[in-house]
Amino acid sequence: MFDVMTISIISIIAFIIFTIIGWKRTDIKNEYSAVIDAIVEHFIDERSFTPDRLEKYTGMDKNTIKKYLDKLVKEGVLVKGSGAWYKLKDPLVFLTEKDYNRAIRLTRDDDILYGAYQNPYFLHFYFLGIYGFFIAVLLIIAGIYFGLLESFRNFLVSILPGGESTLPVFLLFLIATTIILVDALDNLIKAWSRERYSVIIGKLSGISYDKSLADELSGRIQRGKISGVDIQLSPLQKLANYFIDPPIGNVVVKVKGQKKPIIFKNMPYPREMFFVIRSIMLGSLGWRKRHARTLMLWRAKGMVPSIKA
Amino acid sequence: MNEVYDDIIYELEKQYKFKLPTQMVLLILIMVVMFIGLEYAPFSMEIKITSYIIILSLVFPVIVNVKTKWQSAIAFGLWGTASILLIVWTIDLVEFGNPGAIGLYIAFLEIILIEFLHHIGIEIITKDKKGYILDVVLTLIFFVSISLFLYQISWSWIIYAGVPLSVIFAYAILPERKV
Repeated sequence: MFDVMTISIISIIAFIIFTIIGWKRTDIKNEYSAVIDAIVEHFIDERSFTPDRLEKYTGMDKNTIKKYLDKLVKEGVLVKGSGAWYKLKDPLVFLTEKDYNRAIRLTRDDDILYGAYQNPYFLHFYFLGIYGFFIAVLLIIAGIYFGLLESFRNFLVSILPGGESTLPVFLLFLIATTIILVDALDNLIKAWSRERYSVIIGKLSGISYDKSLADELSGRIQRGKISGVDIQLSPLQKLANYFIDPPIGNVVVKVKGQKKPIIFKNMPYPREMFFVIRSIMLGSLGWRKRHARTLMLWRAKGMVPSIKA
Repeated sequence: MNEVYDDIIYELEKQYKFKLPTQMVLLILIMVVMFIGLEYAPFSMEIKITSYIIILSLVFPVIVNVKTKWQSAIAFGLWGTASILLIVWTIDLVEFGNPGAIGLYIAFLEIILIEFLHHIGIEIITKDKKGYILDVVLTLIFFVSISLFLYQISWSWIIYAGVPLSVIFAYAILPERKV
């Protein structure tokens, strides 16, 4: 390893270079911003639009417009139709393309204001346990490296090709392998559990939700039947929300004529879900238009300060 | 009735996070604790500096959790610095005459650097044709690297361990849905 002075110089130079690269890579092209502006200004209330129509407002050629529209489709901001048309998705719809189409079909072409998945296992003890597994492996590896687990170390040295000389790099590889195992397991559990429990809020249809793994939105709460809505954040959820994305929380919906409220667990952006439910209860959707551009930029992962107003 | 929705502020995440000054104070506190912890650790100064930067690059995107251009740039700057220092630190552990050890080291670096990037919110693999091709290429590199090591044990280990690990690697580096 290099000396302290060299390490310090390398650190400073690397930090400056990579920070500049990082700054440059978040730049949003003016053309991209112009396409977003044109959509928000002219097509926010329209059911669909084509690149041809955008050409008129942006002055860009069709291929460039299509490139940015496809980027917005990838970010989940727009939906691409089978023809050459695009449709603006509501910013609070986080469903997959398949589930979004299913929601539209089952709510009979209703305006979907919020759509996301419950994550029933998130923050559960056994889910967090997979991270505990990583820490356990890390401790064992440290124990082997520093000679605290002598017999285990001797066993590894005896079976490894190269013996003692391969041991340090093998331990590094073991740490890395545990990381991908935990990451793959995390992805698998989330994908399996989350995308089975959709919750849809439609402008007219009210709340539709999946009751079981194989359900087709059989749970229904009509707009007029909602007697109250509340957000419940446990201390663990609140703590996790400070540091993780997306923020989660439970949303409790009281239904007229039912003693037990319906609890939607670990919903992403619970505060926004609460507002959307309040909005369909009160029949007011003006906020959508007012905040459309910001919400759209947020969904497009745009760095808001870099967008020219 | 519209006033209800005035509460939907411009950056949605802001409502759930600490305010930026609080995040900064928390980061400074953690940096001080890390400094004191490493000051008394029985390591050389070079390892202390390297560990400090690696831990800082892991902690920074979690604590300073705002979606701004400068946050993203600093997180990337720390990632780059930590990656270079990690290579400088660990390269001495590799026995360069041994292809198995080189293979393991390449696989280690591949996993760590990709997962580290994922940690700061950058996905090099996107869910499109280009992304899937990159996923296959990275998986092939990973497979060849660990095969260099596994071959030294036995051919069959490439099938029993190399193939499943490569499949897990390919799956793990695919971008997950955030919401």
